[in-house]
Amino acid sequence: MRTLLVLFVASFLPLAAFAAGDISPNAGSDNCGWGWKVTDKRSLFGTSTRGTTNSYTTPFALTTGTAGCEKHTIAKADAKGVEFVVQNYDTLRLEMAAGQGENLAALARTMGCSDSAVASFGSAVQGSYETVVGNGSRIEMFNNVKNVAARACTI
Amino acid sequence: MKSLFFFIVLLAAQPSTAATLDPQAVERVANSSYWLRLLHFHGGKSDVDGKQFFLSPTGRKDAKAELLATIEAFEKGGLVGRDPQQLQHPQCAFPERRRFLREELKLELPKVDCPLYDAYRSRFRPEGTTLVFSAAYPYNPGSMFGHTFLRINSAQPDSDGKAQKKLDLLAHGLSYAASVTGGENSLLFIWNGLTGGFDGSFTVQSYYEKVNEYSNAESRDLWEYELDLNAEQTSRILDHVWELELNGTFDYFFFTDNCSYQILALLEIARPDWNLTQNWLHVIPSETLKRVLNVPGAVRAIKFRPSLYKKAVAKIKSLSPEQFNKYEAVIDGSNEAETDVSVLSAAISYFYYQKQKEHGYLPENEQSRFEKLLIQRSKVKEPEPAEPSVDETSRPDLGHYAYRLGTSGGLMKRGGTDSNYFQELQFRFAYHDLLNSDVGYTPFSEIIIGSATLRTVPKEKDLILEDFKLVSIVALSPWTKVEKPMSWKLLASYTSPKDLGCDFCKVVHIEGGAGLSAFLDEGAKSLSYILVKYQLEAGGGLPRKFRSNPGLEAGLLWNPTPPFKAELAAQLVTDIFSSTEEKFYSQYRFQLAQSFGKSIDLRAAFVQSLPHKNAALRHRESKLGINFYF
Repeated sequence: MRTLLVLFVASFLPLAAFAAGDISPNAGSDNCGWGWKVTDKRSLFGTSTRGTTNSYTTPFALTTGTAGCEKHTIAKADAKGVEFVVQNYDTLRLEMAAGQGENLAALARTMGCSDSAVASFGSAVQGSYETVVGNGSRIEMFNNVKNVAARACTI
Repeated sequence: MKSLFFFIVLLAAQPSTAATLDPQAVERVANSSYWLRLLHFHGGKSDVDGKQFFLSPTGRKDAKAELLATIEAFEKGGLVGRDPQQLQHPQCAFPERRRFLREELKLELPKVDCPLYDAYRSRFRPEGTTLVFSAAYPYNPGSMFGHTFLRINSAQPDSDGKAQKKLDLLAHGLSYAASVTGGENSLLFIWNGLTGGFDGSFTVQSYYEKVNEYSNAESRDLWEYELDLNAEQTSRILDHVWELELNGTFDYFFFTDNCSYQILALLEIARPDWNLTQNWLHVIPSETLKRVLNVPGAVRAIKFRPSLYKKAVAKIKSLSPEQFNKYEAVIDGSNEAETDVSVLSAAISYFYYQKQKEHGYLPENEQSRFEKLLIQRSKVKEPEPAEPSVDETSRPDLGHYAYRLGTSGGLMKRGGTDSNYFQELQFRFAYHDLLNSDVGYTPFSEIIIGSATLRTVPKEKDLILEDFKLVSIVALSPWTKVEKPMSWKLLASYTSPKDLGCDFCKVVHIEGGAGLSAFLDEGAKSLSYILVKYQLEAGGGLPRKFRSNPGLEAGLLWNPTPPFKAELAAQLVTDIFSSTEEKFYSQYRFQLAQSFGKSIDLRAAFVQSLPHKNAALRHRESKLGINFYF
């Protein structure tokens, strides 16, 4: 049985060539990349620290955060929205450029936008795309979107 | 008499404590299937490996002792848990045990505050559960069979109390996986995964993280099966996962105690009327899905999230030739003022796919092109074009079953001698080969684990082990306009070589190859491939007892309708140690397969093996067979 197992494992040797390299994402000008930490004392649970396959190193009930975002003070009420923007940065920009999309609707929800206002929120964001996206800072983009939401979502 | 009656009624209505438990009730509850499920008992003992999950020293094998110890701990208090930084009062550590025992035995327990548990539960407003399947990822052996996890759907009331449309991205993914530190593609990873060297643990993440990871970064299809589970049942899953994760550990075993098995165990807690975890020899994710679907009414709806790759390819394919030229100009940066929204959307999909694949990284010049493209898109105030349709044949529950038992008969002939009739019997543990119907599987792929073929030649009164495949993997990923992936294969077997002129010799055979494949037609029905490969063989019947053969393999696979497949393939290898002319060996094969549903297929095969210029050793066989899948 053991020999079979050894042979089985050995037959995967060529696959070692596919070992995923460690490529860091373009983290944005505020260096606030894939993970983050909230300054509030309440802990927030598991954020995955890498995105592949069926294995993780994520703790279940502790705060995790990667370097970079601590220098920003984020209000607890904004926590969910900021996390969403950071984790879905490219997807959001893509949908904002198009003025519609599933992630945009989800972000609008975290900002208290009602369903009926999502379409006009989308158009408003698309209309001021360059201003909203700014210089690449995720936190700045979040705040800009929040301002748009404050105007466009009160319907 | 009346007062006696009242007294008895009063007694019956009294809440119990450990001291006043009715022994019959305890016996009943301790042996109840729900209590055994909470303890993960199978075959008389618990699957849970960590000892902090058991409040009694004999709890791992004695459900009744565990019940009594649990009640006592609930009353006496103390601190329990797996992680010294997250110890809790036993009532907080085991909320589902508490609910169940309290209800069944009418327990009265001291009131306890549970801050850690409350913080965990406050993340959710559970409403229902969806079972999610992510399709196979061929570049990591741990994901070859796909993955299943749960999505906890939360009610999302509006600020003025109205329930809003469900936004799946804001739901939570609950997944069980091996906790791995370090390289995921090393042999040690594989070894540990198979032999229980990793701990398994549950994680909870926002569903958008799962979509980012599976659908975007790894370009795997997601199939979402909404289950017939209500808020209370979903809540019990959350509580039980808390019990498992904060107190227990599991040794993760890739083939048995894996992601899919644990998900079935959780569903059995939510629905005590479902039986899902019995009689598994090894647990394959798609097979667990079929078992859930075989429960009448278990699934309310099925939703498909195609992978980013599929969506990008479909968008680009739907462009007219003129649009495609504009698209290429946008991609290379020479067209910065495009206004056709279909072209823009396709170009954005291309860059987005590349970026997600590399976990957010794009080379500098492509990154700036992407930025400019998004700005350009924001100026074109038209809605996105309708998503082009994507093929839905990866739906796992529609695929053939995994075990196979087959029988065939045919004729074999060496050189100029007479043909001999032979019969074969084959058993295969798993999973899918190149001639199977691809419905429910990665198209043009093969994963075979544990396949044994016995052959008998009645005329010679022989019965031999014709072939044993330990593992065979073939991943043919065709080149598209978006990606030029590598195709590859791997084979480890103990087999009867056909090019040596011997009938009873056997060799250990290991083979690996890499190359490319491409569709010959627009409809993606004819796939051609070519691989460079290397074979190593060892066996007594070989000259020098060993052979080392580099070579080439090329083939054509035709799949005009899903259940019908044809293969034409050839290989040419050369023994590098041989100095004779006969060092080249070629093999040709032609195969046909017709599938009927999930359980049966018919096969026909013709194979010719030929050592170079040695017609006397040329071996030919043709056979017909039938396979049963279960």
